Amino acid sequence: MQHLGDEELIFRFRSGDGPPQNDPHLNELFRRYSERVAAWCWRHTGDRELATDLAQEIFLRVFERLDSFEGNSRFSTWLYTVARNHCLNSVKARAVRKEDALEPMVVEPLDVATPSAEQELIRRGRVDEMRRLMRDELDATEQRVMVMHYGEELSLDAVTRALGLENASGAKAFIVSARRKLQRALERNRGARKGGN
Amino acid sequence: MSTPQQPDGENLLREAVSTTPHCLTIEQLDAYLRAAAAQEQMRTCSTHLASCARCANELAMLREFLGAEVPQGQREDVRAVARALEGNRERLLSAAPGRVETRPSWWGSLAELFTMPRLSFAAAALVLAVSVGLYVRQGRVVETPGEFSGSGVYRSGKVTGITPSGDVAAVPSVVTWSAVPGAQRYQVRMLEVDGNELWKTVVAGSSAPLPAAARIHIAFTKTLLLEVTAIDEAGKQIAISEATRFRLMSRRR
Ligand SMILES: [Zn+2]
Repeated sequence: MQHLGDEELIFRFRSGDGPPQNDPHLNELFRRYSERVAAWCWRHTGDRELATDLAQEIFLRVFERLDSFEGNSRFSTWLYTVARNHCLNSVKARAVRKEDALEPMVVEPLDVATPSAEQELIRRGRVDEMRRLMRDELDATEQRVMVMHYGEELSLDAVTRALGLENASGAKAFIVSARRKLQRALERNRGARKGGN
Repeated sequence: MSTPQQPDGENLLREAVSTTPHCLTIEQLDAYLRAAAAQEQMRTCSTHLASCARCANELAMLREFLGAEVPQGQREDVRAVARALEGNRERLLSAAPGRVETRPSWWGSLAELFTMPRLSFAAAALVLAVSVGLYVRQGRVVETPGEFSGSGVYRSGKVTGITPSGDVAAVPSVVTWSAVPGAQRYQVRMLEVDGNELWKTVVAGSSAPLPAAARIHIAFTKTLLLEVTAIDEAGKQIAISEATRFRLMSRRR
């Protein structure tokens, strides 16, 4: 049975009979992924009990909806999506948000004379510039920390755990250095724009 | 003229890591990770990844999830969680939706008749018609290798008429098969002879174009298998084909 793909296991489970908990294909599917889901949940919580609860909820959710699985995506990516959202949401909900203030980012103000029709264009240009800078100026860990913190809205503690950071101040150190680099790059670009015109 | 809303550094950071319409789907990331997409798609993916920290992070998370590597320091904890999970296995698995009905135990041996390659299908159908006709008429038997329609005409649980099959002179651009009554869609898979899946798609009609991602696997004299599964409206598999072999016998692409 080990040579069968995940999707094949699901199809065979569907065409078998008897109680699902006795189905060899479903058991094989569970065996394949239980440790991965356990590791994922542990990584995001750092707590055995919490991780067990989350992992069970993830499998329940997936098994309950097994008949809606259509086979046009892979089972593993579906399971990943469920596990990802479930863990991040749970970690987010649990976060006690009391984090030290960081140095503010200073961005170029808009000219008061800018016609409102142009404001949106300029704003989008700034976002694009920031996207590029994140990719070009930051190292891989800084980028991930920024996405997890500002994009996924995870607390710094949660980011530290999720990325397995082992430095003393965890994600905080990466946020601080990333913001500093971005700030410097913004000023450099701004200077270049002024100098260019 | 309204005073422009002054940009705020924090908002700018948040926006710069938010999803855009160009962001990759999880399926695209997965295909990229396995290098399973067509060359053109692989390029599109890597171009986007080079400019999007969000998608790059998503790719890293997916890789972490799929890779079974547990760091040394976490192994004991992960094992404890996995053990707790195992302790609840029965309960978790029992959440899966039940199958349509429990078939009598002799069904299995009849089902085997259909998978025996040498027994002609008509003969197998006859055995079934003679011995279990009554039972099958009583209840709706689905997901079985064979099924009676109301009129008593045997309707096979097999998808047939697959092309390409056998030796072909040129790289095929489409897979076709005979439509199965009651099928709402079909899953088509291309496999290596050892069962390794190379490509898969789901379509509504009884043919599926072979995109570059599939055609790239069709190599001179390499035997490949096609498998078509018919799925009904409820998502149940109602028929499946034999693995149909084909082989490219020309270097013309
Ligand atoms: Zn993206």
